[in-house]
Order: sequence, then structure tokens, then C-alpha cells
Amino acid sequence: MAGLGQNVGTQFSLRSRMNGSATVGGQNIATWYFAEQGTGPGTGFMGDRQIPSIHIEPIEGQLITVDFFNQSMMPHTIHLHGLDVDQANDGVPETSSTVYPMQSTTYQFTAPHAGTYHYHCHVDTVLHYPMGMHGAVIVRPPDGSIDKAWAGGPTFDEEVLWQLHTVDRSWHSLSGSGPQTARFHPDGFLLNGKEEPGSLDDPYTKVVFPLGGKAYIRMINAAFQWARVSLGGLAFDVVATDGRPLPTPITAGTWEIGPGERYDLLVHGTQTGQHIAQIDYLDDYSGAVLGSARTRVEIV
Amino acid sequence: MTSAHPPQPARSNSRREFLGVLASGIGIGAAGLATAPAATARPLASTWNLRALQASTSFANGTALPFFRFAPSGGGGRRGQLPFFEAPEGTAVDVVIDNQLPIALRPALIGVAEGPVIAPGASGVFSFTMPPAGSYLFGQAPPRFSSRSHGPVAHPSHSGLTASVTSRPASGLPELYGGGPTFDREYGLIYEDADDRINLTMGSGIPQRTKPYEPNYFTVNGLAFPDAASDPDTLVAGSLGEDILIRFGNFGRMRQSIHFHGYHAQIVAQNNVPDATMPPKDTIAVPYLGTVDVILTPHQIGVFPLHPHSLTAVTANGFYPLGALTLISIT
Ligand SMILES: [Cu+2]
Ligand SMILES: [Cu+2]
Repeated sequence: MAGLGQNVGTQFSLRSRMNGSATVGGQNIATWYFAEQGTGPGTGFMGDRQIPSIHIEPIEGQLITVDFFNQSMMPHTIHLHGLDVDQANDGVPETSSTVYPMQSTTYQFTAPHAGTYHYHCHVDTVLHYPMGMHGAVIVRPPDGSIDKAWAGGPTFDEEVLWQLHTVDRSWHSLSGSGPQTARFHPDGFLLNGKEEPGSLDDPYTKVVFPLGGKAYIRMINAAFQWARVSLGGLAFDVVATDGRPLPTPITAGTWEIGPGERYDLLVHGTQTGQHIAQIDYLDDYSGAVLGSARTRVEIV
Repeated sequence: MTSAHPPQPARSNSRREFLGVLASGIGIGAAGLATAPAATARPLASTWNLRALQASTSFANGTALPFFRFAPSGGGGRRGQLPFFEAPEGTAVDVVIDNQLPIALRPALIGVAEGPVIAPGASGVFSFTMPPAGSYLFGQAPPRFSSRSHGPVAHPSHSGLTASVTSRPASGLPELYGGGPTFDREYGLIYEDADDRINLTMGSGIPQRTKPYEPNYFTVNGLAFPDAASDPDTLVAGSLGEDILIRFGNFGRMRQSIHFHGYHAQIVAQNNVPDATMPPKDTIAVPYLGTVDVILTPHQIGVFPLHPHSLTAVTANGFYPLGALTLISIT
């Protein structure tokens, strides 16, 4: 299940780190991210990369706590994007509160409808967010099961998170917003923190499922651009968005997802074969393709 | 649905035909389809007066940026810095425009009608019939892109010259359109963007094009944060459980993806076409020259941000959060 289903619970402990790195366009860039609490340098998504941040899988209807330790020298917060938490737990400095360096806080909320959500730092967000301080929140159905989308919703044999993200490498040496964050010129096009060729065979990104089975792809657009997604000619059903089921699923071959949106795709394995899925990142003004990230979809 | 398609301004007078198609095609119940009463025998008429002039918008990074703006001088009011007009559908409207700018104007009710060219220093009248009830953008007609010129080229006169227009249902009821969603309160939020390399040339007369167009100032109703959040028509205030209609519009060049903190909202129409394809969402795509109407029914009290998620749009020349950010305040 592409690494998912291992982090289901009601209590999570995160810390912020500003010591990460990633390779983009053959260049080493600094990243900031959320890791599990513990000792050592820490890791982000799936324990082997420092962009994006680790994911969490709370259970619908349960009271969830997220303990946050700011293990860095700048203020940070956790905004639980789409979870409709109350004002005190919203993680916005201007309306909620700020967690200062080496301070801790606990965020509390009741997990809403099972589905795909997002979390991120909301301090100087124009910079902290693209630096990597964002992760996925998968709300599991009330019974905690990891093979269905929501109670009464579709079941699946394979489940994959696709976190879309673009990089402007020149931003990765900045420490705060200002004239240098006025215009974002993406020169790195990532999927779960990997660009090609790494994204093609990344075990946490590629989709492998059996003939007659179903794959569930949870897309989160953490880029500043729209993205157009296709599965190499495979049709799919768009079944949910922003943590809610569509009234009627929409069958499509390509789909566009805006910044901050989530869409869940259900793919049916009707025929064995190999397909290349492609994420095209689009210019905010002209719609032109700025760059792409690809991975494999295999029905075996 | 996301703004997956190129901008497709609403076609005037097409909604009822579309409703018929929708009803037969996907089986929407007839109850939601009551059409507005036929226009009364007594014709309605309105005159709106606008002056087009050079203005300036202050941003909290310390910049005062020149903008070409419309100022209402009769028949309407303001939302934030933008003129606001309303009239029942079917009303004969004359918009009298006094052009005090150094550029020619060509006013339009986007997707509905275009008016005459009004030379610098001249006045002109733009006449149209109010389209079916809904949310409309009024402004300087967008340039017609040819396939050759399509691209991020800013039309120098475009930015800032806008107003919001609400067409009321003939029923006179607080509903988006005849038989459509009802509401207890309503707001209109229009997003714009500006590239200061264009605006800074306005003071010297005719502004210049730049290519590429890359905006670095962003407003909602012509205001940036924190001013936007203290403007009574741009701060979204309401009470627990009310149905709050928010009419989103985008007269900038950047596609926007507007994120609600604290709440999901229900899309009810896009470009004045009823739309029930999506469940409640926390992030709503508002395409260039498009309108999206949503109903927010708050389930909790509190103060929450409402902002584009392409976060450069929440800055003033990069300074966060001094861009197109406002707040929702529910008591
Ligand atoms: Cu941060
Ligand atoms: Cu967010």
C-alpha cells in the first residue's frame, strides 16, 4: 500500500526541522519540514526524504491530538488545512497562536469525514510552505480500516498519496518573505518530493495493483501552480474532493487540481499493462506547461 | 470542479436553456427549476454613473501603487474600492461613463455585452439589458486573444478597471436566481492582480505593456490585508447557521484557488450556471474572468482566514501576508 496504513491513530507527535536537504535539478537545496518527534536529524515523508513532511492518519470521529515541538530557531505552526478545526487550533499566527523556537504546543480536533486533507506551517507561509513544511492528513473511517475510502465508500487494493510540489531553487536560500518572494519561477517539478527519474520508480509514488483490483490515488496540490494529471490513457473516477465524496463520481482521463485542493481518484484494473502517469504543472497566467513529473501505473 | 478549462464567460440568456438541458440530462428535480416570473409589462430602467480616473491603492509594505479605477458617481455604491451596482434581471441599464483617463475605454459586462469605445476625456453611454439573475463582472473589456498573442501579456489598461454587478431575480426574493439557492446574507469578493512594472508607468500617462506579465500586488475588492479585513463589505461576517452567499469573481489574470479556514462551502453556480457537481469544498477555484457563487453555512464561531493558496497572491511585492487575504468572522 505504498507505505500508507502504518500511521493510523489518535495521537501524533511532530517536530519542525530546518536542516533538511533535497536534490533538485542536480543541485542540493535546503528544505524545512516536519518530522516525527525523537532524536537525530529526523526525516520527512516515509522516513527517507526531507521534503515533503511526514503524513498522519487520524480516525474519523475521534478526538485527535497533535503534539508539536518547534525544534528550530524560527517560529512555526501547524495549520490543519481542510479539517475545519476551531480558531484556537487553526495554527494561524494572526488569528490563533504562534509556536516560538524550542517551544511546544498541542493541537486538538475531532477528525472530520474520512478523506484526504493537508497540514502545513502558517508562519510567513509564502516561504515556509514551499520550503517543505507541509504533509498529508488521511482521515480513516471510524473503524480505522485502511482498505476503504470512507464508511460505505469504495474499497481498494492499492493506495497511494501524490503530493504535488514545485520548487524555485532560488528561494531555498532565503530566511523570510520580501521582494525575493514576490515572483515564483518554478525550476523543479516534484511528486512526493522526487523529480524524474526518481519519481518513476519511487515505491511510495508508483501505483501497482492487480488485474480486477482497484487503486486509490489521493492527490494533494501543494504547489503554487495548477496541475493537470493524466494516467497514461487510463480512465479514472474522481470520487472525492477536499475530504468529501462527490455526489456522483466523474469519470475522466485528465483532471486539473488547483493549489490547496485535494482530489481522490479510483482506478479500476480492467486490463494488465504499464502506464506512465504525468503531472503537468501549469503557468498561473497562460496555462502553459512549465514542467512535469511522471510515475508508473502498473496493472499486473 | 476545478477551473480545468479556458475562461468561458457566461453566455447571456443561455441559462434557462442550460437548465432545461441539465434537468433532462442529470435528473435534477423540477422543484429547483422554477423559472423567474416573466418580465412585467412595466419596463424597469436604471442609470448608473461612473467616472474612470487615476487612483492609488496603499499596501502595508509602504507602497502606494497607481491604479486606473472606476468611481461610482450615481446609481450605485461601493464594495471596498470597487463600485457595486444591482438591478432586477431584465432592467434596461444605461451606464454613463466619464472617461478622465489618458486611455480609451471599452466597457463590458463580461460575457454579456460590450459597450462603445470612449475616448480619453470623453463621455459615453453603455446600454444593456440586465442578464438572468446572478453575479457579474463589469469592467474594461479584456483584450481579444488571438492564437498568436495568447500568453501572459498584460493589457496595460486592464488592471483595476472593474466593478461588481448583481442581477436580482424578478421574484424580489433573497435567492441567487428565481427558484435558486436562498441566503440570509451576501458578500461579493473580487480578486485582482497587478504587475507594478505596468502600474508605475500610469502616473506618466499611457501605461506600457510588459511581457511576461507577472503580478506582484494582489487585492480583494481593491484592498489588501489588513485593510481588506477591516472593510465591512470585504470582511465576511455572519452568524452561526446562517446561509451566507459569497459571490467570488476574478478580474485579475491569475487563476485563483481560494482556501477557507474553518469551513467547507458549497458551490452553487459557476459563471451563473447552476452547478451541483461538487460536494462542500474548502478550496474553491475561481478562474480568470469567472464568477463562482458559494453558500457558506457556518457550523462554528470564530475568526478564520480566507485566502488564495497560490501564496504569492497573499503578498505585497513578496511581503506576507499583505495581499489578497481577508477574514471570516462568525458570531
Ligand atoms: Cu514555519
Ligand atoms: Cu493551506
